[in-house]
Parts: sequence; C-alpha cells; structure tokens
Amino acid sequence: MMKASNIALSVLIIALLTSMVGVNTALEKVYSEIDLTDKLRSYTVLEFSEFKVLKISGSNGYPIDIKQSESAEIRVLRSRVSHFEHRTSGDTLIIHFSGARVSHSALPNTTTPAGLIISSDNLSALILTNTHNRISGLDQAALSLTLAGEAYTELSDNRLGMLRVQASGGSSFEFRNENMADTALLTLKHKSVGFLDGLSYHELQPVIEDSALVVLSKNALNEFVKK
Amino acid sequence: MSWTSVQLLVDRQFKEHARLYYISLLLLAGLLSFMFLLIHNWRDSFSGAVENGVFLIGLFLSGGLFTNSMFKEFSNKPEGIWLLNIPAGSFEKLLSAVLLSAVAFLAVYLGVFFLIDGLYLSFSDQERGVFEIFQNGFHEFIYLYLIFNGLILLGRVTFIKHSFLKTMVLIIAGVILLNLFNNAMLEYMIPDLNVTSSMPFNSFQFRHLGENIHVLLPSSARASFMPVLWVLLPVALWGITWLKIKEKEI
Repeated sequence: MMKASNIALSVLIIALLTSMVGVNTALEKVYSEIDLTDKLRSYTVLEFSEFKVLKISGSNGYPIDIKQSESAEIRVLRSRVSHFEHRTSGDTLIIHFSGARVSHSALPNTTTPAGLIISSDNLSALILTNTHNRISGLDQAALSLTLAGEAYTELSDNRLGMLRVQASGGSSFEFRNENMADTALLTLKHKSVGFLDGLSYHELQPVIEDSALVVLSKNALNEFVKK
Repeated sequence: MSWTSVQLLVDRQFKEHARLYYISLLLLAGLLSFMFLLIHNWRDSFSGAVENGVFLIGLFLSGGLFTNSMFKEFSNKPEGIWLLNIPAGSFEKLLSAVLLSAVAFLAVYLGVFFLIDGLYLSFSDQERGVFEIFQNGFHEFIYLYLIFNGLILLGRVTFIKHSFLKTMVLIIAGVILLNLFNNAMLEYMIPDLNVTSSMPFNSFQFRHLGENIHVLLPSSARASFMPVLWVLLPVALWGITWLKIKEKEI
C-alpha cells in the first residue's frame, strides 16, 4: 500500500501541474493581446494622468527615452513592467523606474533597449535622479532640466528657446548630434560634468561650482570665446 | 503539540552542535568577505547588482548545508533509533528543525550579510548604498529559500546516505524538467510560438522577427497567485517531511 507521504507528494505534484496549466492559460491571454505587427511590440502602453513636469528616479540599467510627440504616451518594456511605479502630484508625473545599476563608463553607446519611452507634447521640466536618459527631438520654447545623483543624460536633435540645466551630485549630461538653444543657462555643482560639443547657442551662461567640469572641444571653445 | 518539547529539541540541537555552528558562522562570514573581495577585484568586469548574486550564493549554499545538518542522525542507524525514541512527537521534531534551519538561519544570515556588506561599503568607494532586500521584489528569493528548505529537509529524511547530493541532483533535474515541460505546454497551447525562456508560474519570453518579447502574468493575477504559492508550497513540503518522519522505520 502506498504510504501517506507518497500520496501527499503525488497530490502536490498534480496540484502544481494543474496550477501551471492555469497560469499558462492566463499567459496565453496576455500573448493574444500583443500586436505582433507593431514595431514597439516589446513595449506595453501604460495609463497615466496629464503632466507638464516629469520627475524620474530609479536606476540606470535601462535607458529612458524622452521625445516629442503630438500625443502623450508612456511605453514600458514588457520585461520591466514590474519595475515601474508612478503617481501624479498636480501637473507632475512622478516615476520610479528601478533595476540594476550599471557603471557610468558603460552607459554611452549602450545596446540595451530603452526600458521606458515617454512621449509628450507639453513638457516644461524634467527632474532626473540616478537614471540614464535620452532626450531627443524636442522642439519647444523652454525646457528646464534638473539632474541629480548619478543621472546620465544624452540630448540629441533638440531645438529649444531657453534651456536651463541644473546638474548636481555625480550627474552628467552630453549634447549629441545637433542641439540648438537660443539661451542656455547651465549650472553645474558638486562633481557633475557637462559635455557641450553638440550644442549651438546664441547665448551661453555657465555657472560652475565645486568640482564640476565642463568639457569642450577646440571648436566649441573657440565658438564660446568668440561670443 | 508542546512548545516545551520544541524548545528542548532546539536546545539539544544547538548544544550538541554549538562548536560546529560557531565555526560555520565564521566560515560564512569568511565566504561572504571572499566573494565581496572577488567582485571588488573584478568590479570593472561585472555590471549590475553583483551583491545580489553574492547574497543568493551565500544564502542557498550555506542554507542548504545547514538545513541538511538537521536530522543527520537518520544517516546512522543507532543514532536514528535514538532520535526516533526521543520523547517528542514527529511534528515537534519537524517544527524544531524548521525553526532552526528556516527562521533562525535566515535571521543569522541576514545579520551576517548586512554586517559584511556594511564593512565592504565602508572600506571601498562604492557608488551604491546599503543592500536593499526589498528593491525590485528581490525579497521573493526569501520565499524561494523556504521552498528550498522544505525540499532539503524532505531529502534529508528520505535518503539515508548522501542525502544532500541526491536531493540537489533531484532539485536540478526537477527544475530542468519543469522548465522543459512548461515550454512544451506553452508551445502546445500557442501555435507557432518559439519560446526562448520561461519561468514557470510567472512569465515566458518568445522570439519574433529576431526580437525577444517578454510575456508576464498580469500584476493582479500575480498578486493573488504568487503569495499562495510562496506560502502553500513550503508548508506542503514541511507537511510531507512530517509524514516521512512519522513513517520512519529503521
């Protein structure tokens, strides 16, 4: 006769396999909702309230793309959904996007896909802490960018009237490709670093404190001296 | 059930092996320090939260060995008879083993890990702060440890000789088989699906036009299902271990 422990073990195994069928049925339903013809099929669209200010904190394992679009949208990489938390306070959308930390030296030219893609047509300020951010294609009158912690931000192909950047802690920012700002007000504190090569401007007002660094190529330096 | 019996059994286990436990504690601290030194030396080669890996290796390695030291009398006939004849019920014997190998071990392990991690942080120039166990759901590995604890205890009372090795082989084989079965089931349920990886009871990833796409259980379903699994599975394994002790014949 079969011992009670062996019967219990068999019942447990059967229960586990049955629940596996249940879970896989739920997964099949999620799968059937994915539009495989969509270019961004690896991402899921999230619901949120309207915002003008974005406040993002978390980690730098997955880059965060911020771009201009006619309609606001937030997409998160399906594998990172459980790492995304958000809430709204007034016109500020507060996001925490957690994950692994990556060494600063590994961030430029990373091949890791964006963990978050945020599109907005009405963004006035960004407050970014410890995250890896890629801001591109913004065409607007003004933008305020506050960087803290170990935030690393790449800006490319933006056209801005007034750009205000406040970097502190160990944060850094880098202009890539062609960025244009009528007036650029740059305040760098603590150990922050700013790479200004890809920025064209009519007026540049840098304020550099503590051990902060501004990095300029020869051409960028000549342009700054000329103005 | 008598709590006095459980307390006496815990006291007996601790007093009989006190010297071994103190040495093991030093060994654990040494092992964790060594792993932190390793990741520090090769810090440019590792990216991400490597301290999480250190935590898991330490937890499952030391926890597995310590759990396997429970009921070790069963691997020796005279000692096994003596253990069975101790005037306490099977449930009390099991409970004392669970209290020591799951509850007390976790408390000691967490204390030692945070101490070594704190010392490492104070002597190195790390960008990160103190190890955060509740970040990104990492604490779920604690529940996984409880399941692992149940499996090791069950193996301990099932196999007379080389129980740890046999149990580990079965756990590894079980995990591989479960994964293969889960992948096969998903590919059967969803036609033309090319599953590249899956985590049973949680998610899977498939390949489409050269791209890996992740499918995760909806958060509401996960929130209601996972706690049941985390609680019921270790309890069921401890229950079966209890039945095995009751049925024990030497």
